[in-house]
Amino acid sequence: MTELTEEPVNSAVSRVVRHPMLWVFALFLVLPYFLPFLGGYTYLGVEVLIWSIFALGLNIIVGYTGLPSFGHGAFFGVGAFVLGIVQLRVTHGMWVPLLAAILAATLCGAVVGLFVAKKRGIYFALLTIAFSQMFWFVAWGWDSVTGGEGGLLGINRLPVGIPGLFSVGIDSILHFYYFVYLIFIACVVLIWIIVHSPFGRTLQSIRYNDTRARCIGYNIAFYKWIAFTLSCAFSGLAGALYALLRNAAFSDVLHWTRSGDVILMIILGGGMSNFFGPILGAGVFIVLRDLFSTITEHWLLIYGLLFMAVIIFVPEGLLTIFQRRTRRKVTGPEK
Amino acid sequence: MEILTTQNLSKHFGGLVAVNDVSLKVTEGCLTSLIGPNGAGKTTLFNLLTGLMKPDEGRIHFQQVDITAYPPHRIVKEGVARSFQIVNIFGELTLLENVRVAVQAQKGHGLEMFASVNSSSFHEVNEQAAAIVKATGLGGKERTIAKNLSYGDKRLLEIAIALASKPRLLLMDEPTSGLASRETGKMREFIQNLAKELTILLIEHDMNIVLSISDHIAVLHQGRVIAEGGPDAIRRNADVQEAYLGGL
Repeated sequence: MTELTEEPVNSAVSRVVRHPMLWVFALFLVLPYFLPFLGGYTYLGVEVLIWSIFALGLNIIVGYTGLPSFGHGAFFGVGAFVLGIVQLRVTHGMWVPLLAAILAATLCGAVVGLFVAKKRGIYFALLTIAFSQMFWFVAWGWDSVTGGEGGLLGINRLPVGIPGLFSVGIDSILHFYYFVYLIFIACVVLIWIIVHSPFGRTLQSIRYNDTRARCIGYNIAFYKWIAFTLSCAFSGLAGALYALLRNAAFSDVLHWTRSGDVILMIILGGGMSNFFGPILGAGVFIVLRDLFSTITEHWLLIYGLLFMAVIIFVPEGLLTIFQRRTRRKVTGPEK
Repeated sequence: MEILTTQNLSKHFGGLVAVNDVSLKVTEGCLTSLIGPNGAGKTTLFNLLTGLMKPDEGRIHFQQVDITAYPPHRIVKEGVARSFQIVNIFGELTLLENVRVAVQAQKGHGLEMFASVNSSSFHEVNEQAAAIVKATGLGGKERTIAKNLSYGDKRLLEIAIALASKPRLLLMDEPTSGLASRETGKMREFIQNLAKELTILLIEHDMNIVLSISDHIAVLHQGRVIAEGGPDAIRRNADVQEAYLGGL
């Protein structure tokens, strides 16, 4: 609108500077240096970034479109395995395997999406679980390709760069952290643009009232399919990065309980009402899991209690605790 | 000229016949009202016309196009929009956003992923949404979250969303239901003004409104059309008095 173009440069700049996204990026920029003080380590930071990408992408369908998918672990797994298979058997590099992983997850998502896009609520959730279990069985049983129970080992973090121009090694965990960090920035910006676009508004209208959305002219099954497929692309990317982090791909990541973990991150952090919720959720989930599991083997019990406390006391997610003052500035799917 | 015709339209729910062999004609430029006691099948008929339900028998033609098998979103594109009896808005979005998302659908911008809703290419959508909000008398409340609006404003928003689809035929399902008498008067005036530019098919319980503003009235009873005609003819019709007016 005209307000935007007529805005003085100063205030436009200050608006960018005040953008919550920059604070998130700044935080993760320095995270590896103060993680040790919090009892963490860089590896954990990479995990937070990867699961944040996964959760933010999934939130396109869960938070913005209102469809609870418990099956995105399948596409995360597809990303992990395809990266491994392509890197080990087809081409020894980084970009091609990464792109192949994203493409494969997107394609699988598009096919599964055809079956789930007409469903909603519990039926949608159950169908996504069923599909993810099918993927899990395949990954688990197809020994010759996926390594079956033992997983696909020997995946390498090879140097990345532009051939002939430069090349940077990412074998060290710190270098790999910043490699994932750059991808994380790209994903956050991209997802932010998508959910705040006209398309994002369409998805929200479907979330809040799908009957009315149909009656104003949206082919909602088509939009749900697009949103589903799109979120699978991010799942595939996250899965590929996870395979690089672990130097291996295992079939356990495809299990539907892992998909449940990401949903927990979204709800825990407040993804249903805030764009950045999934990042906080991923951070809290992973750091606490690490912390509790070193204290007691019954860490799941503490975890369950914590989750229940969040649902009872801050049902809109942890971010709402920090959000009170800045509520108007941070836009996301309204609660 | 007829803009909408139904031929022998029927819809059953198990043993219940909700709409029974209804053949209806809506003339372009006219305000046609559909009256009948509760459970007469009026809303079911609307659901059939808008594609939310499929008829068991019969055909629906809109501007000579057979839309019987069309899904709701295609019927809207053809030019049939509706407002609902029970407020059916996007409660969590702002008032302006409610209308904007409908204008965006009408203009075919719904799939744009990499544009900003504030960009210049979206200017037209924003302008049009703002204009509809003003024309509906909701100006100044653009930023209010829809669920926090007063009931009367929600009813207006209900219609504003339907208008954003730029319909040639507007189906209105009891726009005055639940309104206080002063608001009812305003709504009646509003419908009369709309009828100057639009063909309207109206479901309404308030007989004073129906008899005073309609060009044509169809009376539905137990799923059947039992009478049709102008307001005066309907007022005099003995069957109608029996079934609906209670010997008025």
